[in-house]
Amino acid sequence: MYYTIKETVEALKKGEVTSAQLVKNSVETFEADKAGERPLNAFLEMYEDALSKAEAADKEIEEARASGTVDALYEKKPLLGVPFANKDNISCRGNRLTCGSKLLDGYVAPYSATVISRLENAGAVPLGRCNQDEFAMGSSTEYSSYGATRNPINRDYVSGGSSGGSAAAVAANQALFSLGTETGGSVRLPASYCGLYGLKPTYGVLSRWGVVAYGSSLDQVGIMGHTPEDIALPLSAMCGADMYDDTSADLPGSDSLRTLKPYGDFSSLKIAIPKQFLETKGLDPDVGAVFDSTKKWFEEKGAVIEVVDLPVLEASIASYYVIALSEAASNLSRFDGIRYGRRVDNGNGYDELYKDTRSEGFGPEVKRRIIIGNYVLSEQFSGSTYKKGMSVRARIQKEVAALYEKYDLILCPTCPTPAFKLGQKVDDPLEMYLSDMYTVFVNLARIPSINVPAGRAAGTDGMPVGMQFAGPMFSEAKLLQLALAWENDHKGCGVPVKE
Amino acid sequence: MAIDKYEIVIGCEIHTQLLTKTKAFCACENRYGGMPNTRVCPVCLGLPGAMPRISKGYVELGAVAGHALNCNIARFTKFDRKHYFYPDLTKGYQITQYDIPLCTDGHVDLPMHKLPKEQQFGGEKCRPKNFVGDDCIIENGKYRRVRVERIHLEEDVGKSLHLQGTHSYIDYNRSGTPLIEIVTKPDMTSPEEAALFMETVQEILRYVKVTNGNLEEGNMRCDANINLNVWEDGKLYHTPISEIKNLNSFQKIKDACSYEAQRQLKEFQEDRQPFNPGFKVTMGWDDDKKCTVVQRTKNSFVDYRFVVEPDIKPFSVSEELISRALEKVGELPEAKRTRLKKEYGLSDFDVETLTQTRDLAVWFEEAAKNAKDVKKVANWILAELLAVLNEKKETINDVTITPAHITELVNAIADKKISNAQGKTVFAKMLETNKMPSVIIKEEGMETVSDAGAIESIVDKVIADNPKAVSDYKGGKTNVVGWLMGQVMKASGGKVNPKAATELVAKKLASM
Repeated sequence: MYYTIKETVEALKKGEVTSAQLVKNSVETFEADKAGERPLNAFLEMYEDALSKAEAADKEIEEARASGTVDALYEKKPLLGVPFANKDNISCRGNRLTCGSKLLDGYVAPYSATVISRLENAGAVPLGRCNQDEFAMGSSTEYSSYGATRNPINRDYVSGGSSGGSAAAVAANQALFSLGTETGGSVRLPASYCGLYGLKPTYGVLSRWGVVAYGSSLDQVGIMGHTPEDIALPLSAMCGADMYDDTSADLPGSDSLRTLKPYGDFSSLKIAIPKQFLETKGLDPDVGAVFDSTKKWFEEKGAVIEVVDLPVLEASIASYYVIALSEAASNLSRFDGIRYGRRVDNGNGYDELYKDTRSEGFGPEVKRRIIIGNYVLSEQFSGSTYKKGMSVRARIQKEVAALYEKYDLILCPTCPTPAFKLGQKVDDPLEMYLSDMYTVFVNLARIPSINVPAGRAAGTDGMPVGMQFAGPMFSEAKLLQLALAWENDHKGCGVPVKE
Repeated sequence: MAIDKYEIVIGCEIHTQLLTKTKAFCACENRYGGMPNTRVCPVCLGLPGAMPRISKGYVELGAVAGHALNCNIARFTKFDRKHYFYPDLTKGYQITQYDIPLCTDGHVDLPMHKLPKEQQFGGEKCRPKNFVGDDCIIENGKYRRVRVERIHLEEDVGKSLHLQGTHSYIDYNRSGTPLIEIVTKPDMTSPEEAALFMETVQEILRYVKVTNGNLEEGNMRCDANINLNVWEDGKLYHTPISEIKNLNSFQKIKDACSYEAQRQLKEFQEDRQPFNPGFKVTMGWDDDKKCTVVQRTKNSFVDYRFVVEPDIKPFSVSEELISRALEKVGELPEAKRTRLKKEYGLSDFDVETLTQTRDLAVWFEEAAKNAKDVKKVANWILAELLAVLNEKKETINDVTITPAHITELVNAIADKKISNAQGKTVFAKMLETNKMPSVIIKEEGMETVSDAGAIESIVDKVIADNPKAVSDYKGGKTNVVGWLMGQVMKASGGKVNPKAATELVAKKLASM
């Protein structure tokens, strides 16, 4: 088994392994795990067409090898034959899509998301869809209608959410890399809990066409992998403006992603640490210790670190929830049981049909957020709350952008605590919402940020701890170069890639 | 208690489908009818993950409508979402414009001569000082001004078909069709005025090619908001507002508003329901029973929970787009009628017909440009050309001849090159072959003989050949002149200038 994309591609080129073997291997691992006592529940389903797509890739490779053009082929299709895990809210044509919800039972996506078709154009093979918090709402993947996903490092722990399945699939070596989505940290958080690199790109760099919306103005597709290179390559295949998504944008300098170099000159690097993140009450001491060693590494490399005051960050969780839940309530209106998915119709008319379908189809966390969102938007109760949330967000965007005129990077932990045990916070939504306190400002400011595996927490059976490097808009290449420099000095800091 | 008098107050919301090639936010064709659910895609079906994107030409057509109704066009605007649940609404919300509409503060002037006499200027009812003021009477009562509060862009929803007691079927072909909604101030004072408003707006918007304005196809429909100002014992009361939905013919607007006004008056007399701003009863019009039907009660408050559409970036409306839209508006029908009457001295009827569509009016003016007799140009188009078109069910756009054909034909007759009767032959040939009249006249050898010597020799021959006619003339039968003229025409193959020939025949006979 090959565990990085680079190694896998080399093996595929030489014919040491076939894409079909990789797919079969993943399916077998998945099936064996499913039959086990405490299954991970990382994948909800392996796509039925994965094997045939892999075989088609093998045929292409075979023919190119015979004619001596295999290198040229990989120039065109750098991910040919590489299987990846998809999240259950990203459409993959002809395959089921449920967003972790009973309400979408039986729905088959009639078209592919742009990120999926672009990966397929680069030769990658979609393996299957991964478990997630229902409609991406949650921080632990315990709110899925299809059961929680366990953390492969220790199955007593959560895998993080909402893209917990996508993280667990890679950490358990069931896929080479995976796609997740995040609205407030749902890629970085599970990456942190599972000891992976996880990138949340600048808003718009990855098209949202075909990705089921939660909070549209915050949503972004993200990538998880074992190394920064495993993120850079899929990113280069997927990035760029898309005519199907009005909010999408080109990523300048994306060419450098194909041959990622570690960041070299740290002497001119200026790093900001917001004071507000240091004063957090809930910061776990183990996470604090890893944070300190991360700072030390940067300083030893020659970077300058300064503590800055950014008071507006204190309002980020509030602003985030107002905007995210307003948009969520709106986006989830389309799930009414009329055109697709599950319908509960007791023959009492439309209003009852909507009520029954949505009452039975949505889980408690989704309902909670729809109710809060609608309350916030309601003219009768508090129409001004939404406007207030939007204006705070505009301030966050402005002040964060201003900070980047002086600094290259914002450094902070990804999460105040390491992964917690399954069931520990599931009945305490407020406690759960605080998992996002270091991540949401990134989504509000539309900037990119990457989680790097940075150490282990002694207090929680040695669960992984992640740090995040957040840069200004469109600084993806630089963030990945920094992460590669980090990786070169911290091999094995994340989950072991080979058993 | 006694009701001294009452006034009707009406404001309209007109929904009009725009003539874009594609639907508002996807690439599906924007067309009426067809097999149900054949023109649908992930976007207009609201499938998970589908995102809207603004269609080409959508905003510009909205701006054309805005200019045509004298509005200001926003330089920066955005889309919003309006939420409610209904099976024909695919996303649980409609994409619309909430607080920054594309067009604001316009007006439409209604031609008063189209209203019943008693409602025209001078009647008490047309001067509702309390809410419009005298400003609404334009040009000494020739027009009445209705203010347009806003025009915004929004998408249409699908169509439901309810089978009694069994099933409902939904056709989403219309879902996502681009609309504009025109919202007026409550400036209309009678059901007739409301209907005239819709008629005038329909004419203008058709004229500037914003919409087909086809009421039967639902291209255009009107919601009328209506209530009464009632003076009772010297005190003014307002009755609660009703919104009558989906009125899709001028007659229905008249009927529904008339009925509703009487119903409100009766209700006021019975229980004096108080006016409550922000709340209104939603009604439908039952055209079979000829009455309004309550759809939503007055106590229900509809909360649309507006939110900024996050999938479409707020956008600038460029100055180029705005001036391009203004160019497309050009001269509006009423202005054109006034000018054509003045410039060409045409009758009201001629002008009304010639300005039915902009294309016809442009065609006419093109033909009139170098014509020696504009009135004749109008006549040829109105009497001959339109008759042919009507018969073939075609429009001026289908015509293969050019305006220059008519110009040349009219000039040939004016110059007496051919007679009126010959003109008809030329006209028919022209439609058939597309050849210019001059070519046809030459090929057919139809030029009138105007040369005096040539005419004289024919006349002399005819007189010489018909001695009986000459003697009859001498015997006092003066109508022989006509008969002889006929012989002259016959002998010349219809080519002599009839006026000159008649004069010559008369002169010759008199001198004999």
